[in-house]
Amino acid sequence: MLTGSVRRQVRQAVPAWIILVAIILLSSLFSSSFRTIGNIRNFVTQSVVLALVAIAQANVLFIGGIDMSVSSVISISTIFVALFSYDSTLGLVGSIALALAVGALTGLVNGIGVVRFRIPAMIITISTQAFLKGVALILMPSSGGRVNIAFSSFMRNRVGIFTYAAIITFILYVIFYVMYHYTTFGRRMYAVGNSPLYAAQSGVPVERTTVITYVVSGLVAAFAGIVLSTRISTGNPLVGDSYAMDSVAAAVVGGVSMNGGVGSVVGALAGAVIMTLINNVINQFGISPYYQYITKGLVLVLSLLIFQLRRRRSV
Amino acid sequence: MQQGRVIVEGRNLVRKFNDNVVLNNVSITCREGEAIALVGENGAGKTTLMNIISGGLKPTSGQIFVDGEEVKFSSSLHARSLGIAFVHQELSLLDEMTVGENIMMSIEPRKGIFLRQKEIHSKAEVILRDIGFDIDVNRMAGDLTPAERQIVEIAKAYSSSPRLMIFDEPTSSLNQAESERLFAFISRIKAQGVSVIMISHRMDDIFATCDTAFVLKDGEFVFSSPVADTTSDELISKMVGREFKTAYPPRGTYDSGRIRISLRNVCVGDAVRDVSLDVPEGRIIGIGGLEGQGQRELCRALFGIERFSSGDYLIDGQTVRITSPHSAIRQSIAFVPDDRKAEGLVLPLSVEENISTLVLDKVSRFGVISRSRLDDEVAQGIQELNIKVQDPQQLVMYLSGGNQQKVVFSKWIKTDPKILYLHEPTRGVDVQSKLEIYSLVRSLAEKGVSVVLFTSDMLELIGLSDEIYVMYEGRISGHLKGDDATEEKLMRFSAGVNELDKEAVEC
Repeated sequence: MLTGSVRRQVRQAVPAWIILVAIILLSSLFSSSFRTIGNIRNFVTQSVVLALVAIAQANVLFIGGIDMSVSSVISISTIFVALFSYDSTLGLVGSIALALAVGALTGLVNGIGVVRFRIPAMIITISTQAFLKGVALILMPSSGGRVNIAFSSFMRNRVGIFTYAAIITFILYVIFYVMYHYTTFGRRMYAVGNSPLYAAQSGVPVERTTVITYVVSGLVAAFAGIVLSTRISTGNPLVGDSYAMDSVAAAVVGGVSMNGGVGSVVGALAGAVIMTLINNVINQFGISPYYQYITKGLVLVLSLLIFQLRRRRSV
Repeated sequence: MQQGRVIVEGRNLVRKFNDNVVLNNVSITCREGEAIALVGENGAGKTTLMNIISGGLKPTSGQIFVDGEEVKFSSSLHARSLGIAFVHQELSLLDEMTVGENIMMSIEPRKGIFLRQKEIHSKAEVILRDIGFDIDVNRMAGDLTPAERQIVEIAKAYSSSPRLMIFDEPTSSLNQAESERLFAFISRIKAQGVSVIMISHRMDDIFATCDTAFVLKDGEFVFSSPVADTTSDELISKMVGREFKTAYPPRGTYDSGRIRISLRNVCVGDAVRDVSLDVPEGRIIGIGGLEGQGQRELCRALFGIERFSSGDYLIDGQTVRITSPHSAIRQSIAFVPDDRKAEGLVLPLSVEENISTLVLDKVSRFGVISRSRLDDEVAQGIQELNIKVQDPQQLVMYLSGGNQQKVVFSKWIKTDPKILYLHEPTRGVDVQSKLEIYSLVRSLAEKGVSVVLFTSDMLELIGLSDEIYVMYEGRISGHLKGDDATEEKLMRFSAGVNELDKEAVEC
C-alpha cells in the first residue's frame, strides 16, 4: 500500500514513533505509578483532544498554511455544547451542529482570507482566533453551563482502555490517512503545499483546495471542542487556548513540515501523544508542572533539529 | 514543408510592458508535423512570443487561431486543454513526489475519489518510454539530476497529448547522447503530426531537428527560411546588426598596468568551469554571452553570495577568501545586483535610508547617528548622481526604475569601492538614466576603480567594455578587445559555434 511518495511521507513519522515508544518504555521502567492501568487509561483519555486538533493542524500545514484559530474554535464549541445540550436531544444535536457550523465558517473565512486577499495564514488565523475568543467571552465570561449527561457518559464509555471518544478519534485518523494518501484531493493538497505555482500550472485548483482544507480544519477543531466538553462537562471560554501552539508542536514533532507538502497524519498522532505524555510523566514523577513548558520547548527544538539534519543529508 | 494543416496561428501579435514594446506585430504559423526553430538574441522577444502562444501571457493586441478559430486564452491551462504544451526551461517539479506522480499530476487515473497508484506509475512509465528515456518512475523528483528533470518536464507536457509542443532550450541540461534521443523523439512526434517550436541558440540543434528557422530581433520578425536553405552564418547575421542608438562615453585612458583582480581556474559547481581572467585597475571588463551560461553564478561568487568550489581568487596579488557579502565589502567590493527590487534596495524605505545603509558607521558617533552628517552625505549622493526626488524621505518604491538604480549606485559609491561588480546594471532603466549610469561607471573607472560588467545587452557590452569575455556553458568561449568587438563576433562565441577563438584570445 505504501507506493510512490506515500512511503516517503509516512516515513517522516518514524522518528516520532521511536521517541514515543522510548518515552513509554523508560517511564514504565522508572515509575511504578506510570505503568498502572489506571494511569495508562487516564493518559489515553488525555491524549484524545490534542490528537484531534493535531489532525486539524497537520491538515493546514500540509498545504503550507497554519491555523492558530483552532484554540478559539475549541473554546466556543465547548460553550455551545454547555449552553444548549443539557435539556434535550434536540438541543444536543442543535448545539453540535452549531459548533461544527461555526468551525466550518471560521475555516471558510481563513481560507478566503488566504486565497482571495493574500493575507498570510498566520495573521488571518490569529485574527479569527481573537475575534472568536471575544465572542466566547461574551457568551460565557467564565466556565459554566452543563453538558448533556447522556452524551458525556456515552463518550466516556470504554472498550478496554479506550473511551468511545478515543475510538472515534482513531477512526478519524484512518479516514484522514486514506484521504491524504489515496485520494485525488489529498494529492492536490500535497501539490499545493509543495509549490502552489507548479500545482496551478499542472491543473490543480489551488484556491478551491486551500479553502476546503481550512474548512475541514475548522470542522475537526470544532469536533475536538465537542469532545473536550464531554470531558470537562462545562463550557469554558479559555479552555482551548493552549491547543493552538500544542497542535503545531504535535504536528511538527510528528514530522509534518511547516513549509508544507511533507509529512503524514500518522506522525501527527505520535506527536500529539508525545506532547500529552510529557505532562503525564512530569506529573507522575512529581516534578513541578512548570517544567512541562521547558520540556515541551526542548522536545520541539530537538525534533526540528532532527528533521533539518535529515533534510540536509538528503540534499 | 508548407503543406501541413495549420494547427496554431498567431497574427499581428503585439506585447507591451508599460511603454516598452517587447513584441511588435509578429505573425507565426505552426503546421502539422513541422518543427520551427525560434532564434534571436537575448531580449529579442522569443519567450514572450511563446508565452503568448501558450496562454501564459495575454497579447496587447493581435489574434491567436487554433484550428482556424480565433481563441482568447484565459490561462496556460486553457491553452493546454486545446493541445498546446510549453516545456519551460525553469525546472520546477514537486521534489516530494515521485517521477510518476509528477508526470500524471492532475490527470491521475482514479476510481471514484481514490487514486490508482499502480496505474499512475505504469502510465508514466509508458510515456517516458515513448519519449525514449528510461527513468525509474518510483524515484523522488527531488533526487533527479537536472537532465532527468528536464526529461520528466517533457514527459509531463507530453502526457496531455499535445498537438503543439514548445521547447525552451531543451538541450541546455542534456548531454550529447540525451540530446540525440530527444531529437529522435521530436522526429517521431512530427511524423505523428505534432507541431513543434524550439527556442534554441545551439545551431547544431536547429539543423538537426528543425524544418523552418524563424528569427526575431528587438521584438520584430526579421527572417524566416526553410532550414535546408540557410546556414548558421546567415542566421547569426540576421539575429544581430542592431544600430547603436545610445551614445557611450569614450573608452578609458587609465592605465597603471596593475592587475586588480585575477581569477585562476575558478569553478562554481557545474555552472562555472575553469574560468581565468584578469581585471586591471581602472578598466571596465565586460562579461557577455547568452543568458544562463554561468554569468550569474560567477558574479554572485565574486561577491561572496555563492562560493567558488575551486580555483584562486586574487585581489592585488593576494589570494582572498570571500565567503559572504560582508567579507566582500571589507575588501572594498561593491555589487549592483540584477534584481534591484529584491536585492538592491529596501523598497518600503526612503531614499535617505537606502543611500545611507552602508555608511552608517561613517556618520555616527558611539553608535548614535548624527543627523546633520547623515543629511549632508545623502544630499551629496542625490546631487552627485542627479537622482530625481522631491525629498530624501520619499519612499524608493515610488521612484522610476532609473532613479531606483541610481539610488543603488549611490549607496555603493558611498563606500569608496576599489572594485565594482555590475550585474545587468541598466535593466528596466530609461534611456536618459542609462546614459548617466554609463558615464558614471566610466568616470569611476577613470579614478582607478576596476569594473566588471555582467550584461546580456550586447550593445552595452560593446559600448562600455575595454575588454570582453564571452561565456558559453560555464566556460570562457572568447576574449576580445572592446574596440574589436562586433555583435557578430560575440554571437559566434555566445553560440559556441566558432573555432576562431585562437586568434582572438591573443588580444
